[in-house]
Amino acid sequence: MKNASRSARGILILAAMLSGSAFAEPWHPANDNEVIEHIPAGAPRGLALTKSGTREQALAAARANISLGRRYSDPRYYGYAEAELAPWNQKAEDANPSREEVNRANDLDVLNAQILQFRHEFDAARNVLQTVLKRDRDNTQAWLTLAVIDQVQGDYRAARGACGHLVTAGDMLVASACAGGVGGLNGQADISATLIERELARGDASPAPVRDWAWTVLGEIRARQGQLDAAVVALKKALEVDQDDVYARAALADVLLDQGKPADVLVLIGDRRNADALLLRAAIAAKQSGNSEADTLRAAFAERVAEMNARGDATHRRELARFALEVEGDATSALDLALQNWAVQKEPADSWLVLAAAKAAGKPDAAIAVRQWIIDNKLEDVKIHALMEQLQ
Amino acid sequence: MNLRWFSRLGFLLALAPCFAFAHKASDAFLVLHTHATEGFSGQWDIALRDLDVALAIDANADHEITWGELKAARSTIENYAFSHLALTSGTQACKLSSTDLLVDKHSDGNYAVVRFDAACTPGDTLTFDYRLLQGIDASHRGLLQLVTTRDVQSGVLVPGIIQTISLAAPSRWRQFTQYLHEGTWHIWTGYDHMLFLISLLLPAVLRRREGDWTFAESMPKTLWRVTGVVTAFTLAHSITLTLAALDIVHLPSRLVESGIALSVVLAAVNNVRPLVTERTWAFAFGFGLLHGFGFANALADLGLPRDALALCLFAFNLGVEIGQLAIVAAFFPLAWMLRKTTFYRRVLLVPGSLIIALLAMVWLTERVFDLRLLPILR
Repeated sequence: MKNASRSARGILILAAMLSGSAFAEPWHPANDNEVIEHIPAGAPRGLALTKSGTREQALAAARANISLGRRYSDPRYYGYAEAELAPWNQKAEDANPSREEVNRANDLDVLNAQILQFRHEFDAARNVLQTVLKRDRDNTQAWLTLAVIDQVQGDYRAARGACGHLVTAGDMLVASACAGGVGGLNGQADISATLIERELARGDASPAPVRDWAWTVLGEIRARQGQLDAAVVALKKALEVDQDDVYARAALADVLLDQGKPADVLVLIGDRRNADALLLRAAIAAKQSGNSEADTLRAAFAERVAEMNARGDATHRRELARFALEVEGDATSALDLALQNWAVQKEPADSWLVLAAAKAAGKPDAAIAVRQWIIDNKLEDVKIHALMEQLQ
Repeated sequence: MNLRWFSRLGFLLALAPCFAFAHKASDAFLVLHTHATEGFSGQWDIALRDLDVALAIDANADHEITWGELKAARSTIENYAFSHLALTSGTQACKLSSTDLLVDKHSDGNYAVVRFDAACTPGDTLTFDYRLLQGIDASHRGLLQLVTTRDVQSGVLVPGIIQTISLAAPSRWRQFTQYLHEGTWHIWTGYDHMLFLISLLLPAVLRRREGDWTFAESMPKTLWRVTGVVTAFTLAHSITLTLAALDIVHLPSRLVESGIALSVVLAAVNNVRPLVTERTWAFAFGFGLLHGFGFANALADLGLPRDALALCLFAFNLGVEIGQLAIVAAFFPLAWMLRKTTFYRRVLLVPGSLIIALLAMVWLTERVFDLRLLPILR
């Protein structure tokens, strides 16, 4: 068995290596002015040439990298952040820390938790956050990160509780988007959307990332309610605030796909294909619209999958399942992946994937647990309920 | 109002909905080819983006790396790369020297291709101390392919973790003992084979007279019978094991496994309601053929090395015989001593065989209908 898995991994790595060079050998570019790579703005530079700085500099750099990683949906930034924090994580803690030292330890741990969360190590992230909250019950960053993790894992009661701790912190839009995001998943979609809309209508007092986030949450609720036009408006507002927000752009692409406008998706994504989320939606849209690029996009995504598998990365099952279902048309693999993914995260997209794959594979029984979960949690999502009726 | 928190609101909220997407973390691709005498030739593909993060190779900082900028940074890149990869062949450090610099495309962008020679005498092991981007990108990994004249090995290199890969061909003696051990082990852990043999041997120390069992008088005659049964079983399963392992005959494994379970049922029932009492060796031979296919399935799971096929097949079979002889050697003296007791005839032989038959019936049901009924003793 050991040999078998080793040779399987060997094949994967070989496939990953060959895929890049299957069509061409490495080359010497013809002239010196030829541009061979674009470097994203904001990325750190020359880190091997500089000496490490102070703890405050390391934390600031980690924070900036996590923020960029989120915007661009690019894991390299999380790798930079983790490396920045590593030396400071090894420092022993004082037995009798001062108030200031406690705050500094908490700042560090919240960043650690956000990196763990990104890697889908939700339980480890939750443990770190609970340590932070034990030291400081009023740490709003920890509460918000905890709310997000609880929400992803489908523990809406806990998520609502965590959001409640944000009300006293100042920005009502933060608290509304947090609570509305949970309520919108948990039987109170209309009230939640209205709450967020009202806070957004108060003006532009909140920082841009807060408004971007609130518009995105609103757009997702409207999409689940089947109010697709309202969803498009909200998600476009989010992109007006930050056009580089990959999450909002992918969410908008999904709504356009639901509206049966795959050609618009290709325009929306354009050449922003570095993020896997957008590459996947472009591949789906190209296939649906019979675009001439369909095969190229499918191959490009498959190549990334091969490389991720070769390094043993298992955080991308949602995308893999959707790719298998909507691009490759392999319902059996899609169902398998969707169920594995649902064991880790339980957002509407995850539940929808299990139902859709179970339907396509002709195995409605595979989705029984998911259906029960949706009923128990009063999830309001017209797409999901339509599928559930078809699966009856 | 918590000002410290508020000042960081932007950063904090940027994280909120971020969990959903898969991404491509940083990988480098390292391929090494062994040569007979002069060490290794290597190719190391490192993302241009990663090189800029480490070494700022975009000299004019216009967010575009040109071929000219890459060429100008060549020695910086090579110094950095070679000081972050220590290769040790056996105990001898390999000296890395570059041979070419090219560009190649991977799924997430273009990569610098560093070609190099690693000078060192090939040894039995190759040790990798891989530290590319250590302290810069904690999620970086090196995807390794090591190509020798015999095979291709692959692995994931994690910065900061030293990994050793064996290059030595396993010795013939080691292969022999490994397959010998696997064969013996298979008999001892394959309860169906063991119970078949025991069912056949239980009545060997007795004689059947006028519809009842009495004890055997003659030790040589009894030993001869036991030897007959064991030899016939051995001969039969050696034949089919060889035929199956060499891909000459192939039977579906479910059929084979069900047949083996049936053979145990019949052998055990035969002790309760004797039908075959005289030529048990023929019985052993017939079903032995089936058991051989079972051994072949176990051997197939293990895999036979192409270059030492006959040796390993022989060693596995020999292992099976040794395992089987050990069972006989443990069983026979005890049975011989107990053969005159009522306990042997009334408790061991009949109820014992009934229990074996019952267990084998469960196996048979499991295997025919592809079910799982027993948590243990499979």
